[in-house]
Amino acid sequence: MPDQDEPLEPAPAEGKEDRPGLNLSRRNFIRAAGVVAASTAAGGAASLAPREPQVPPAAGSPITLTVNGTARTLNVEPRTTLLSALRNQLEVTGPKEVCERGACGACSVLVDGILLNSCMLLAIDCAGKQVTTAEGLASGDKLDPVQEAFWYHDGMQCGYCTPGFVVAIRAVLNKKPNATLEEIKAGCAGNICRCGAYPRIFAAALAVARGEKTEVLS
Amino acid sequence: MTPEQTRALILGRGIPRADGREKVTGRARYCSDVKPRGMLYACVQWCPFASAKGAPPPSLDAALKIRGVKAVRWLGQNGAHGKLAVALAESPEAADEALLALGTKISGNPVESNIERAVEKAKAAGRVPPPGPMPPAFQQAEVTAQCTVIVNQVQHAPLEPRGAVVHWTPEKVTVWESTQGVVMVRDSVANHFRLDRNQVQAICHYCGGGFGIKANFTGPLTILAAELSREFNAPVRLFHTRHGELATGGRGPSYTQIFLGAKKDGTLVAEHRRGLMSPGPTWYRFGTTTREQLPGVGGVHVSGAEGPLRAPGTPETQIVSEIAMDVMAEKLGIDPLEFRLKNSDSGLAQRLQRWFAAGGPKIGWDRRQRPAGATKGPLKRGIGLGCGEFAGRAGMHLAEVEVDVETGVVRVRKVVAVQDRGWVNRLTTESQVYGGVVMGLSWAMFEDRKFDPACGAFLTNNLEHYKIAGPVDIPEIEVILLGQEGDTAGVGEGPVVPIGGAIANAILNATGKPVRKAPFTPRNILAALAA
Repeated sequence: MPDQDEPLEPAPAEGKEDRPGLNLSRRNFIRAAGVVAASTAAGGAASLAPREPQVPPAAGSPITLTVNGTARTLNVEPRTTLLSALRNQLEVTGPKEVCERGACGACSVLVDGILLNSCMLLAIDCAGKQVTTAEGLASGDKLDPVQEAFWYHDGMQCGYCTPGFVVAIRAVLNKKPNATLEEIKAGCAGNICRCGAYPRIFAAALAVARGEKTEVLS
Repeated sequence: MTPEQTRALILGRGIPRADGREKVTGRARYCSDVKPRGMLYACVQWCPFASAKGAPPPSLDAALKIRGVKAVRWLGQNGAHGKLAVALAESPEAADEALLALGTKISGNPVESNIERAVEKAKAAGRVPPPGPMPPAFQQAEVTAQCTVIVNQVQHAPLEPRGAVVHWTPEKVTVWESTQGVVMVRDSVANHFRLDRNQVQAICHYCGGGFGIKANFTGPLTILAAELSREFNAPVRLFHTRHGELATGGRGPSYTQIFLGAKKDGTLVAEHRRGLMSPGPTWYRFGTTTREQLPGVGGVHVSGAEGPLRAPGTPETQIVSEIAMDVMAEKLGIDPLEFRLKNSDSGLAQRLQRWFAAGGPKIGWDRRQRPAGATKGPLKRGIGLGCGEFAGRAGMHLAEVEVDVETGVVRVRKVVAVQDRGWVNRLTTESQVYGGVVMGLSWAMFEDRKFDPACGAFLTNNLEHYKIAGPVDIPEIEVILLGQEGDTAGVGEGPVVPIGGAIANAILNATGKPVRKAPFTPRNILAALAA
């Protein structure tokens, strides 16, 4: 996907389900709630594939993540995704859990500056890395220009996709500060907004790319 | 700000929303972000089938041995995406693991969710009587036109799923439910548990999308979370998985054969609809109007209606009217706007003229293909319009599309949305119209809920299969509000109505062939072109 064209170094390689040395199946990390339908050869019915637990629950291993500039040490199980560690352990809830499989971009974060879906990363693979969420783009009350422009141009309605979009647009503009509309669309192509704020989001991103003033009076 | 500045902002571009800072910084706390101390995570195993054979209760022993698991319950609801089991644990991972450890064995029943196939099967089985003679009003007609329009099943699909965090204490029950109405949540929780309303507090500072699905009563997940919280004396979080969110709600499909009869001068005298359809509004002056629901077509699986979907009953009916109007206009050789003006009462005609005066030049109506399908080569351009109304919120949308007639790919290039209402805050009102256009476009172009006919497995159970319009699918959209400041009404629902017809008619103008089936995917477009 256009927004994921950087090397996905910390994540398991696409299509490579088994990770040598860990004896884990990536599918077990993804919350499928344990049910998969499979058609039978007869075609008239199907059954769930029963699955035995393959991951013996572990006590967890200590890792250190630098989250929004602060070093945070936590115990994570091998199966814990970066998204789960952020939301459930560190209570950094800007990244949202929507699809849990890299299909919506609501959990977008920067890992060492690279735009990634945190639901598709294992926390343990991010040990020692810099993780930036929407919360970390602002410094105190001072918003990032992308955030200021989203607010000024109303690049949101319900706001649930907004932290992900803000991070994705930040990543686009880091790469191409004067991005065009087409480059902006391609850069956030992995994100979905159900309220349909897209035209406003594009306007906000273009305003930053063009250096337009977007200060919200308060 | 001074009052003058405030007024200037309101009359000018509008005011950025009050909670914008919290939303752009990720600090807005949605109900799914709430984590009271000691919170436990509940996770439900959903029946993945539209209907299933009875699943034997599995042994819970292995699941209960998993570290951090507090409880596992077999619920055994094996019909229509029921809850098979619930696990409660200290982490969501442990709850998931417990559900995996059940090794649930269940098989699904065949299901028919494709309305077109259901009609064909019913016909083949002799359950649908052959069409009788047309209603007598058609004897006045000099020209007749007919078409079939099949409209897809679509979903609400809010990004924040339905669900809640519930904390039951002896003094009170606190419910953080993602809802469109905290009062109804408070009342329905109180009613369910026979509590005084003062003992229940419902909180929802931010709702991550609803579109109607969070507008009825408190969700069944909230009740289950409340029961678990009471029993385990801890706050409990229970939200839909994406499968659960997409498996219920939405709107059913419709199948309509529509027949129009007109005089040669373009005056409609008769309209007849035959099919499986919601009643819907009659927008134009069709002459004598008759409806015939097809008997004998039963058993089309649709999801449970757990809440109304944005402009309920209207977009799927209006798109049929709009397509039929253009098919007849094309046959008569009359401009679609002229044809609509001729067949509207005077009040509507005036409004149509006002909308078109604003929107027609913006889309470049004079560039419309005459005759339809006139562009040379495989990439064909077309322009169309559609109208519609919901609860007094009316407008006209005009669309330009490009259709690749070799691949069936449709690209919407531009939309002009004219809406007949004013605003309190222009900025956010226009955002609502953009949002309605985008959702209506997404329904028309992409979204389609599907089940495996052999086993009833729900196939479009996440966002890579249930396609929602994304950034690269969004055309240039121009919003024109024709009302005035203060001339206000809720604006979110109206704009989902006209857009489908506008796109469909732009495709007709590009290709010379009416669309037959939404969404307008390459497969459905190629089928329409081959008809």
